[in-house]
Amino acid sequence: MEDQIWADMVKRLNANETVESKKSLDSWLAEDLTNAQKFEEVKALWLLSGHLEPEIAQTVPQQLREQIAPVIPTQNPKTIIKKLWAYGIAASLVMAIVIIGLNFLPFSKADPREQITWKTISADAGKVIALNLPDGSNVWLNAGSKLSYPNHFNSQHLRNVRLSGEAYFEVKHDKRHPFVVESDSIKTTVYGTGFNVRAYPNESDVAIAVSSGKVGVNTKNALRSPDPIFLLASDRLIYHKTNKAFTRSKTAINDINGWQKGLIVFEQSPIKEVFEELSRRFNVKFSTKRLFKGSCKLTARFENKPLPTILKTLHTAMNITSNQINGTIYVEGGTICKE
Amino acid sequence: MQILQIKFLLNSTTDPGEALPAMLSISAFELLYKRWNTILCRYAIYYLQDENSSQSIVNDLFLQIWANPRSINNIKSYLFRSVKNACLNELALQKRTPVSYIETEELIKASDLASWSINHKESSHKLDFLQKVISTLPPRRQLVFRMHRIEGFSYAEIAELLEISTRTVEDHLSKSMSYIHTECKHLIYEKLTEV
Repeated sequence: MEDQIWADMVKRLNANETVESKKSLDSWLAEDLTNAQKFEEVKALWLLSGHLEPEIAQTVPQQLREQIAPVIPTQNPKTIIKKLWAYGIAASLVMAIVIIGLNFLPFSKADPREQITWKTISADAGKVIALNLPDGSNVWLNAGSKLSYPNHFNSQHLRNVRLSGEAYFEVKHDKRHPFVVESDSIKTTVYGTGFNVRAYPNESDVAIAVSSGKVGVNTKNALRSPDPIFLLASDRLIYHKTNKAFTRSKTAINDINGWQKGLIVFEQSPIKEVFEELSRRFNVKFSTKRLFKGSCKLTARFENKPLPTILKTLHTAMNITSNQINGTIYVEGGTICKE
Repeated sequence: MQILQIKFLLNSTTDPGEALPAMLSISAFELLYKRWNTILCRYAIYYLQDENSSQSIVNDLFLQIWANPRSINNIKSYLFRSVKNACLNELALQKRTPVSYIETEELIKASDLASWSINHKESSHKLDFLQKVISTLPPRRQLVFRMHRIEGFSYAEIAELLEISTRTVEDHLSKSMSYIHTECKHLIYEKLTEV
């Protein structure tokens, strides 16, 4: 049946007929009795559809729920003042008490009812997420990364967070409460600084780079606790998961969190890791089955380049061809390196 | 207060001008989320073509509403416009990575539907069946149908939210009715008094 007639019918059912559509529909209805019957059927279905309910979600997702869960408030300075006034205490004494109180508030003795709940934030492929931690520290999570942290740091000596992936931290300075990032096999302890931790589960290395302040790095589960390796601004430490050894180097401070602005750096990176990184950054799927085994490692730097440009570079430099079919990019080839 | 909130959240289709009070209780927030999340995600997918980023954007919007309590006149309009803006921003950001996805827009899963109807015709309620049929409409067409027939947006509103012409909106609706008629006309002749 003609599209036009359907359009006319809907117009009539919606009560916004035009002169033309009315004429067209009426003449069609008059042509044949079955047409009139058809219209009645369509009308019945249209009316039925008016009773449809909107789709209601079954649950609120866990991640969202955790973020709106109420935090039990610690007594706030205003209520302390009000209560003291109620007892008629002199103003200066009140101020003294309030000042002392404010100093203790951030890490006041935990209310035994105040439970610690852990939250986990993930950055999907292709995304960079910025978030605030309960102590005011800032974190930027790179694509394909996850950070878990407690809803408050009040009752602990250490400010502990767990990272899988890559994140850049700007930690609020607090000498008495070291900030500790646990990733995979490494613990990074910080006192108030800016630093980057890269610990993707699929990569063979964990890398920590410092842009300001001082950072101490230790392996987790050390039987005797060796002295941490200390890093200062522009220091970079790589921990090789395979042989459990550390390598130290220097790095340009601007490069440390350059990924926030689209910088991608590869240094002797195995080709499979290259595609895993590209997959996370650009949110695309790669099929690497047909890459030659024994492909050379890649050292390259891409400043905010789009994926097609990067793929073209890989083609020129390493003879890797790429072909997109449906949602997957198939890559094959590569230059063989003699190890 | 709770009862009033629940009432307006569920009746938003009939009273599109309903306002959202400034402070929401958690249960009212949950109701708001459950009521609007699904259609807003369908709407975001229309722009972003990606389920994950769409759900992220919708979740962010709800978080924002929770974190910044203020009264909103006409929730439906506010929600859809906010999602639209967030999607357009996201698309502008994505312009740097031009990997495109082939659209499977026009595929209608007619075969799935056929097997379902054979098995479930007797026990299904008419509206459930109609819902199922609507779910097999191609995404864009389905979105237009839902926004008009279920959420109560006018042609002009839909045209603006989807950045298409009203002619296209009409076209989607006619094609929807044509499809629905083919798949559902048998319903009409079962027990004429049942709705």
